[in-house]
Amino acid sequence: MSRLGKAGLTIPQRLLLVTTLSSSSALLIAGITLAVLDERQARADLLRRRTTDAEMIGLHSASALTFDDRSAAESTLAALRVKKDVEHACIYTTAGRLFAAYRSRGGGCPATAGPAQASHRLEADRLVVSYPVVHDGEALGTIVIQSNLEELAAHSRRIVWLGLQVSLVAFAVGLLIAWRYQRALSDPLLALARTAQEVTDRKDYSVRLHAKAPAEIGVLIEKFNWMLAQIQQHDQELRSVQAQLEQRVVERTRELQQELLVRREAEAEVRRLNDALSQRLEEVTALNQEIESFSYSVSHDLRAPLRHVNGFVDLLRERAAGLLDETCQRYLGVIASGAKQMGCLIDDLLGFSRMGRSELSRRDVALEGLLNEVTQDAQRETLGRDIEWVLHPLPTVRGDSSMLRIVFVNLLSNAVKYSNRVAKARIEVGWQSGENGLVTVFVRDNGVGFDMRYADKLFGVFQRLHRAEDFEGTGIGLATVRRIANRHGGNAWAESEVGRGATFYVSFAKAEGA
Amino acid sequence: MSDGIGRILLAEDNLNDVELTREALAGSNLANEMDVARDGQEALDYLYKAGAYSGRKSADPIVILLDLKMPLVDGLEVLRRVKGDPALSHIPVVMLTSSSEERDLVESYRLGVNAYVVKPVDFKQFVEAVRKTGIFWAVLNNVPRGVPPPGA
Repeated sequence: MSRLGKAGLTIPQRLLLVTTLSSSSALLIAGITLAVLDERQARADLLRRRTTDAEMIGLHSASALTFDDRSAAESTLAALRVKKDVEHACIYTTAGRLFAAYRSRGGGCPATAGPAQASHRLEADRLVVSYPVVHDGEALGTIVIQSNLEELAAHSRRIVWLGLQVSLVAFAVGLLIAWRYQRALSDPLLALARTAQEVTDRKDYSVRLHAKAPAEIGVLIEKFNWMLAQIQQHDQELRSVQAQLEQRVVERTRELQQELLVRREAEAEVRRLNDALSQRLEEVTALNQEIESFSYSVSHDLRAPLRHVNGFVDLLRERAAGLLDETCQRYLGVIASGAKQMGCLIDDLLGFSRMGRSELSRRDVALEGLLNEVTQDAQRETLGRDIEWVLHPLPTVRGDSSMLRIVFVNLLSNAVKYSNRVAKARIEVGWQSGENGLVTVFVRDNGVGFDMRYADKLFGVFQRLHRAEDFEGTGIGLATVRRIANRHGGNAWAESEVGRGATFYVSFAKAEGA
Repeated sequence: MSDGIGRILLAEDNLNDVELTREALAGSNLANEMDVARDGQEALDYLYKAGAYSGRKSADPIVILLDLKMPLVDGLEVLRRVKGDPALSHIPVVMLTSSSEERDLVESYRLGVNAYVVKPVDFKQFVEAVRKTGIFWAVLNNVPRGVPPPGA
């Protein structure tokens, strides 16, 4: 409440002050007015009484004057003894001579105001009344009575004292009433102020003021409560929104942490895999180098003895031609062709090995052009044979053209080779779309075919389904075809029936945009 | 004719190959004019008249037939030394090798080889290859006559 008091007096104090001041002022003004009127009345009464006294004494002393009886006049004057305030009473003759006198205390008689004239003179502390003594219309003298004003002053004091007492009681009663009434006004206001302070201090908008108050204060409290309700509602909405936001932030933070965790794990996994991969790559690289140097040695060192075998067999045939019989000559032939065959095997094997290791130079390759070139070579080599070539248009694929050429060379030479016992050979080349955007090229012949039970063996290295004396070959061509297809993201397979020809399929990734 | 043509140096570690090469060259009158070094170091000694060949009187060979794979110093190294030496770089060098490895071929030509022959398994082809190479370089190569033999 101290803060409220800063502005000076409190509302109750002000109300009390205003009420008290106004009622006191009214009382004071009324009191003074009454006192003044009463004073005047008292003086008028005193004047009237003294005038009556003077008239009465004049009537009784007229004969004494006429007969110059001083003692009678003085005894008449002595009747004034009962009047405590009369100080002097004197009777003057018309000539102005003192005739008789009464004195309650010392001092001279007051002078006459004037002959045969009723008059009075009011001084600060006395009243002097003059009245003529008349008998039968003849002025005999003048009577003068001097009174002090003590009785009048005492009366005035009594009046003031009474007024003060009445005022005090009236003031007390007024104060009581004002105090009681101001509470009806100020209590709700104070309660309002306290509540406002409480709301401010505690930021608690749920507080309501339950006070009955008259008139506009009641409206004020009602509106105050309404405002509090509004603020409380907005505050609650704000808090609710804030809580939702905080909840969202917490959830999102948790989600982010979770995501971060997952990502970190994934990154760690990727790193782990990368490390493993790098290690594998190093191993593979080392292995490749080993294979490389191995195949280099093979290509160099393994061929030399074969060359020697062959060379010396030839020298032997030249030098000892006449000494050897037919059987011996045949033996030398077997030795020479064996060595030659082994040379071919070594070359094919090295080629096959190189096929798996050498890098692919990928670009768009038009298979149709490639097929035409390879077919022309095959046709040159099969002059004299009756072969029907059925070549369908082929698409463009993405790959290494020299390797793709090897595929066609192998497939077409197989088709030519295994159809050489058919009177009218027919070789067909075409393509079809496969899964995953692959292009599947097929080469179909009407040759000897093979047993499907051994279809997979066909693509193994040095795996043959026919005897060497029936169809020559090293058994590495189809293995090479399959390896090239694999390196181009595809595969190679075959369908056949013994005696009814064979179809070889090979798939490649299609060219981008083709 | 031998005086007019000069000698051939064959660097070859395998005796069978030496004999076959000699046979292959037999019909061309070149075989008798052939000196044989059994490894790369011996070939270099021969060319620089060092070691066992410090007293060699003969003129420098008109052609060098180099086997690629030899003990101690291999054919590529001999080729590099010959072609890197201004006194020897005019001598034609023919690589004879069992291997058809492309990297050897590329390296040989980078070092300045004059011919590169892959020895076929078939002897007749081998004879043809050696004979053609030897005769080509022995007969047709225009050896600068103004260049005096080193150490002369």
